[in-house]
Amino acid sequence: MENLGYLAVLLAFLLSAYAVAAALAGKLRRNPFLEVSAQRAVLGAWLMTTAASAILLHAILTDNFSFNYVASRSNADLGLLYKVAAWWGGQEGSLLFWSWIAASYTFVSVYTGRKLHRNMISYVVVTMAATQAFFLGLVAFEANPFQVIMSGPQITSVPDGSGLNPLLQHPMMAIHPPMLYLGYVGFTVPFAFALASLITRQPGERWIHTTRIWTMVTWLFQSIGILLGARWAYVVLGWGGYWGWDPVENASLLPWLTGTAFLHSVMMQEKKGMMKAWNIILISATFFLCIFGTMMTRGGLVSSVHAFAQSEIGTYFVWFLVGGIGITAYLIASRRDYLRSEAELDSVVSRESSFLFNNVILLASCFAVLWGTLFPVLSEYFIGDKITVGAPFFNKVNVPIGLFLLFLTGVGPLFAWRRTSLESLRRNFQWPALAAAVCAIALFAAGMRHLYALVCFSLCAFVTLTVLMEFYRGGRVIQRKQSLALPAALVELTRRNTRRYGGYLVHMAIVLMFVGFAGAAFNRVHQEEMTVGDSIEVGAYSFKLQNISESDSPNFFRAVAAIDVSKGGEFLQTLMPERRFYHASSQPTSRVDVRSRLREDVYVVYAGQSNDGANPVIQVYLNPLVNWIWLGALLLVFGTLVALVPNKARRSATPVRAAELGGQPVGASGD
Amino acid sequence: MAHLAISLLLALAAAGAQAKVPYEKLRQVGDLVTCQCSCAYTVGSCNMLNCHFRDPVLQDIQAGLEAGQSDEDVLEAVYAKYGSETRVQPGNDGFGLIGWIAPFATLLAGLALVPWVIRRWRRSNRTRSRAAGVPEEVVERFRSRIEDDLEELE
Repeated sequence: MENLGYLAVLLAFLLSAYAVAAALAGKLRRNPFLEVSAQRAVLGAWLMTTAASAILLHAILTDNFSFNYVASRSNADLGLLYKVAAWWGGQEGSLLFWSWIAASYTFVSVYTGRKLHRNMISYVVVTMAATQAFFLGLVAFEANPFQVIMSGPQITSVPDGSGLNPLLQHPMMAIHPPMLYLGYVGFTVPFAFALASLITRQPGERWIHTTRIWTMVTWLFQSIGILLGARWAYVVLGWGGYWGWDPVENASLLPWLTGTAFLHSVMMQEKKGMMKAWNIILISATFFLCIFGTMMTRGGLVSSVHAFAQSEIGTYFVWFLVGGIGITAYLIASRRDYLRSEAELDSVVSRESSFLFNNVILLASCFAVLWGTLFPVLSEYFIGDKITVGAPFFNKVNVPIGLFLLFLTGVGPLFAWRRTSLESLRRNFQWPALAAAVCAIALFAAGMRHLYALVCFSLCAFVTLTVLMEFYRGGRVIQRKQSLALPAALVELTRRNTRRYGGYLVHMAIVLMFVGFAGAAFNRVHQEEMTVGDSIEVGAYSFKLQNISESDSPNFFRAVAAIDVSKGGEFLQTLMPERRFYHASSQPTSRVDVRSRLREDVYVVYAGQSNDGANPVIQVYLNPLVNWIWLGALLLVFGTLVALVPNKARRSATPVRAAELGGQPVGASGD
Repeated sequence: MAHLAISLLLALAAAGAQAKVPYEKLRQVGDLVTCQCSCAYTVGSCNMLNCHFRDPVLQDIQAGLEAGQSDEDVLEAVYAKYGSETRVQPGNDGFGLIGWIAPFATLLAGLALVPWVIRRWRRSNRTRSRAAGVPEEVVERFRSRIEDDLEELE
């Protein structure tokens, strides 16, 4: 089986390389046969990658411990879900998983776009298949998951594996990596179309229309992946937080930030024909940051609790990045005329400039995160002294930038295209500004003195009102015209321009998340060595350790602390944090228990034993408003899904617009 | 066996548990020192079993705070004793200062560029419409039509 698996990987690599060569040769020699042949090679590469993945998955599920990878990442008593997760739980398997997702994206995007984009699809194949071949090459020659155990002539297997990392044995971890990979790899699609558009000098913004859904879906996957990672950190790592500014966390945030900037600035190109070069740069930066993030996770550039084993593959990533960035820069420079802006911009106070500011802030934030992440490497290189940069630095730098971005989230929609009159400014700003002021005064009067929290809550009120006003105004117009009830009018309004109102829902999601982030300013933590029957007071809550129970299972041994939580003498709930010891990997972990409410989370950790081993050490965290982040995450998903639904108005308006334009079909509206 | 396992392997030191300094304070200061046990957390958050680095550092922090030293003095003493790699943020001088300035300088440069970009766009587009020989009123008429269409789409 291992030979078949490896053969499939090799064939997939060769087919991908062939697809690159054939597509390029077919295009340059104007040979359609070669171009079609390249497309078939894409299908073949996907089939081979799928076969290799199936073989590895089969080996994991059937406990085939003659595979080195299976023996080091799984064990017989591991649950089914975590056995599947073992596929991407280690360096070799995750690279194969990555390659399979890349092959799937290539196959689907090429076969759905080959008729619509006949002129440039071969260049799309070149970019996507080259990326895929790079990863398959790593799997084939540097990180082979099909290596077998051979410690001697008789030793070709082990009775049981050493198991999956206990921290990864959580349902969230079964979903988080695939989502993140779908995001990372997915950005290859818009990047490939952007490059193809550059190479072929396609008129108009066709590549943007085509890849808009790809970009949004990819961005959604990336967002879900990041948020699931935050949730996993919160409930598994047991340090009371959800984001530690770890290099690997940062690696996932970097392309998300540039991708978000791209999703905004792309509207400028669609509506006004502006920022063409900028959009190409943004989507290229997003793609290369995805590759760079992968290099950080796997190449040993920075150390991280989430990183895979240090290896030598970082050098290959460097070459891939240097080559890719060089080619992209050349294409952009050589096609400057094609990328020239078509429309003009009249005023700094306009929707256009708000998009520009939005982009600047997002990129500044991206730079700050990248700078902090690489600062240990840079400081070691320049001054020979490795200065570690952690959460305090990132928070100090990114909190003001984030608040500015939140402000723009509210301001942007209030500006008109081209220029905004003073009267319009006054009309649009007065109520949101009043809401922000009232919020700030009320919170200050209530005793809140934390500056950033005050500003954040006020801005949240400001943005909330701007979004609500946008919905209300539009809804009222439809209500009057169609005699609908306001809720029905709001639904109708959203259906007419799903992208705009879905976008507003995403803005509201960001507001909810910022409310949650601001809550962190008021976190409380307490740690106590307790004996059964002891009570501690933290904030308004009382915690009484009722008992410690122990049990054993084939996969792990656990000790569970039963802690009664009460408030004002009233019993609320028994929380059951536990400490586990995994047999296969000989690693201990904590499982927190959380009483979650909108107001605050009561988060209890069984941190370990006292120095003499006699008593449990219990940590209690009171985390205000943290649930708003997860609510925001749900709204973000919903808002993005709404934005992905085609406009109702567009479908009915298309024939009319086509008739106005002399029967010419309209490719896409400028929603 | 199970008791032995839990006793041996779940014995996480709780240096702050019996401290006169409140745990919250110890945690707050400990979160400004990077743990060197490869956990990638701070000594305030490290949950490594019997961490060889966290426990002595927390004891030093505790001793310093109990002796009435300020947070800054305690931290500087820790950084001096355990090395600059224990810092969680750059210092305020030398290369560390560049570390602090660079993100904000980038942001300010970006913000300063926006009005310049806008002016440049306006100038280049006017030049282009003049060069094309299209009368300004025609351009304006089409422009208004586009704006109306855009508003409709909004």
